[in-house]
Amino acid sequence: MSGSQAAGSTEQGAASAEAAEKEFEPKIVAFLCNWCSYAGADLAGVSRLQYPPNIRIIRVMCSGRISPMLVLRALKDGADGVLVSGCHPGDCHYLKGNLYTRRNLQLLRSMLEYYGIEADRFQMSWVSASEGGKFADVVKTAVEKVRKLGPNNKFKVIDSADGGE
Amino acid sequence: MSDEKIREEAKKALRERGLKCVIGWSADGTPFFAETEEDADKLSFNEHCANNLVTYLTQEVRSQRGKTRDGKDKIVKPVGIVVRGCDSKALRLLLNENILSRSEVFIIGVPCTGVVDKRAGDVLYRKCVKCAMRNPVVYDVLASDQVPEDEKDYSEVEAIENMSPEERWTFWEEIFADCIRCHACKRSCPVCYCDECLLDPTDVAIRPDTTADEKAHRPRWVERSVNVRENLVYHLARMPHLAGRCVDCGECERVCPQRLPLRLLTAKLEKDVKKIFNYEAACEDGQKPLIAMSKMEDENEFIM
Ligand code: SF4
Ligand code: SF4
Ligand code: SF4
Repeated sequence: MSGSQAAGSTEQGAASAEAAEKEFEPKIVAFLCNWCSYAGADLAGVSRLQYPPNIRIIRVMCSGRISPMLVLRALKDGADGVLVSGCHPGDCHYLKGNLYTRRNLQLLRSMLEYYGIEADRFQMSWVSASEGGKFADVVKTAVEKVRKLGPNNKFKVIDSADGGE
Repeated sequence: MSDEKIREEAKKALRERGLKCVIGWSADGTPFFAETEEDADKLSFNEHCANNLVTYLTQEVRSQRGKTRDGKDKIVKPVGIVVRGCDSKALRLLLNENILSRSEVFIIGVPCTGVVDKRAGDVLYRKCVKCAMRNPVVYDVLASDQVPEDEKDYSEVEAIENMSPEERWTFWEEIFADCIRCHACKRSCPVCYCDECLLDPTDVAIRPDTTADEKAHRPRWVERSVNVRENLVYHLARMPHLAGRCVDCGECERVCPQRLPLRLLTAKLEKDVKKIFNYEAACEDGQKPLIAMSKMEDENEFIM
């Protein structure tokens, strides 16, 4: 009897581990620019398009506002991924904000990779105010990519495995 | 030969240009500020002169600036400096960014064949083994003949790039576990000249009218606590600030008390900036900063 109990509990354990794996729901912080992407997200909502509820939207006036610091801070404070979205090149309400951000963040992305952190934790998109459908797709893709990567553990390390020196 | 020339030029400039001082090295390699012509006789340059002196130069010039009581600009006495190739690139960057103006500095350039690391038993610094900037790029006088340059060597960076992501992470995690966040790297960096650094939450410029509230609510992008996570963010966040500005002079690596291989980061950054934007920090006078430029045709592939 005790044997069957033990078997039962390991089975249960395996099942719950599996469930936990399945249930990993990434938290993604999305910085959307006021003029295009936020309006695009709005349109997606108004058109009743479905997209995963994993994103937490922060509206900013321009994607040019997104300094690498904001991305890093979100990752450090527990986000599993960050999405930055702005107007298409040439459509920026402030003319060039998105182009500046593209430069800055591309380097950040490449440095993340160099450190061995999955570059897909940080993603960027251009979504215009009329692209509600694209917004829903972008969110789906972003969430899927981050879901595959699993929880963001590298930004949570306090002590390294060997305890430092 | 080059010592005599340095001394002679320093004396001449102190006399004729009314310099505040000439910043150079003494014979044992320590930084030395020559304020008088007698002092200038102690200036020297040899393979022990490892410090990048440009940070001192910025401080010397900036500390003289300001307004007099009746609202006029204070007179800034020009400051002299002895620079190697790598130092001169940092100096050119400061000139390009209008942190210093050319009339405020007098530059004695010394072509350089490398300096040695005392702590490692007098071996050449890694940056000096293959150096592509031995000859000063901005100077008033040169103290000796130019020397041949090498090709820039990125093999160490490439070795890391070729590791698997997991290997890379383990590699850096161990390094960042050793960082004690003393901030020597950013303090000594010639191109990190901000009065308030966002990476140091204790670094807040306090003026007479700074309120207690402002002091309490200063931004804390990175916490002061030392652990892998905060160290990682510190070393990640520095990179975009240095993009297109870091000249890979290696001063950060040289001063690190934990001997962390910081040039693996700065060289990677330099390599990326070259590859992605076809841009090189301080490669010409009057160059526009990388991050202050934008181009429609920049790479767009990583964007959905
Ligand atoms: S990096 Fe080049 S210029 Fe600088 S000290 Fe070394 S050899 Fe000299
Ligand atoms: S000098 Fe070295 S130990 Fe100090 S903060 Fe920089 S990397 Fe860390
Ligand atoms: S190599 Fe280090 S000290 Fe030199 S400019 Fe770059 S970050 Fe600053």
